[in-house]
Amino acid sequence: MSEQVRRLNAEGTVKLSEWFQAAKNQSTAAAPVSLLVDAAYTELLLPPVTIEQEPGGKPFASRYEFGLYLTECFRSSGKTLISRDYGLWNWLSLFYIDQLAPAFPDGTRNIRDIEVYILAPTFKHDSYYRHAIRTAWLAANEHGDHSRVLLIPAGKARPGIGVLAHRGEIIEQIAARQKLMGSTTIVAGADRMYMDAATGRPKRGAAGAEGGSSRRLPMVLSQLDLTFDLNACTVDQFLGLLPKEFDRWKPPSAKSAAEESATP
Amino acid sequence: MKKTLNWTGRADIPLKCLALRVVEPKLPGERRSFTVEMPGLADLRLKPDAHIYVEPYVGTSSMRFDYGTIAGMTTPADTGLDELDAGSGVLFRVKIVDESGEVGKILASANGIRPESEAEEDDRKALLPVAYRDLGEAIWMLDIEPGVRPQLVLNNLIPALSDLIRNNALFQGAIVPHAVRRVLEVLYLENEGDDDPEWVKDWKTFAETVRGSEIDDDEEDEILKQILEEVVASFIAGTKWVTNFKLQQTVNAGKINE
Repeated sequence: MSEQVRRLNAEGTVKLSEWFQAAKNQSTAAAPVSLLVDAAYTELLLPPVTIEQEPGGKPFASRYEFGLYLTECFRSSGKTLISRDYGLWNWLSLFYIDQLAPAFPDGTRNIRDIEVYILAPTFKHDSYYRHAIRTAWLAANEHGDHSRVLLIPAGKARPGIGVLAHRGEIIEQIAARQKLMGSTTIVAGADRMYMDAATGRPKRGAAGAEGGSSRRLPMVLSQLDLTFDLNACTVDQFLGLLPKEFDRWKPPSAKSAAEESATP
Repeated sequence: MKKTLNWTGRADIPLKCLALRVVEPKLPGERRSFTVEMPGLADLRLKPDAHIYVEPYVGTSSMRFDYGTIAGMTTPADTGLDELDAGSGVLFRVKIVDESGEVGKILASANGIRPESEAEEDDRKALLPVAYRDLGEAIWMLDIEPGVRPQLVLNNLIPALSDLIRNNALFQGAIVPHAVRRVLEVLYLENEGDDDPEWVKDWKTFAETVRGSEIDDDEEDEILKQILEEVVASFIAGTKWVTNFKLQQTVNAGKINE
């Protein structure tokens, strides 16, 4: 199914939020898809954009693929104009509901926290990055190929969690900190450290809590960022600044660069 | 307990050294831009060849502008904020960077600076500045991003809120204590960041003044929670919101009777 993209107005957002809340409480009410084209609850996005639920006739294989698709669709929309257009992102949550939270045979759905689907106009810093649709677009739009480290999780999704709502620990750690999420150097560095080029998935243990893992990265960066001008670093320079605990994750070229710079 | 690491002797740039202002477009087709003045930067006695960078940002979107060096300050020809997300306030980082090594080292910085507002110039140093944004169905929120002076945000879809927050004791009393409590919790119970910036010092001075004695950051969390409750209770007592509300009602009733 393809559709011209619209944005929910305040009343439409309230209606959709109410449905998500009911669905979270095991309601079997069908998703309110009639809202998608209801002029009382939506308005057309301009310039017009046409979007498909299953481009090529098949659902998205990952949030990474989805993020790249959205980036392409919204290329002419103006990134800065749509980034905080919560009505747009919430409309897309409804449009892709069956790939976010597919219905079980009895009609119920596995609905996670409401902020995964509904973006509030308050953009609270500790929750807005959880919006499944917007964050997939933002990551792919900002970081291109490197966004795979953010959008391809290590494990399998729990039953009822659709591909588009399945997120891993690496994006939890990075997207929660705006400065990290906004840094092309840091995300490219994380991609080089934690992604397995052979499998196209995160390396084993990358999402764990051990030394040098993605959970340690924000803590170490919060100190390095006070001292070094990370925004002006190349990816190699950035990897060279990371302490020894990250050595097992660094690609060989970065390891030797770090060793050279440590030599007096 | 606070953890502080500052092994390169990095300095804070005082707020008085920076006058940042966002220039909003007044006509269709104009762009949002900014101006900055940096009086007194030379007095910080930093390396003359250190570079100055100004980084405006909104959420994850940011830009970077080169202002030359301490000895030879320049202004970029174009300070358009075209790459920043629309629909939210702009914050600024300013960095003084020693670029003599392979990787630039920060000699001094200021983070999370809110620009001066033409309408509310005095608000910049206010303990809890008030801002107005579209909050959907929410009446108010506390904007408390890490490292940035907190703001009380009221919904600009209800113009009357501006008057209520200034003059209505009932409205003030329903909102402000929650905001104050939350800021204090973040500062004393959740903050493990770097050195205290100016606004954190302002808040801590406020809390100690209200309490009438010093507050030790290193106390156990349970004791700190109790102390913060005492601070909020003393603050509420000092505001006399209930008394003021009753007074307002009496005055209003008198006007009606007249």
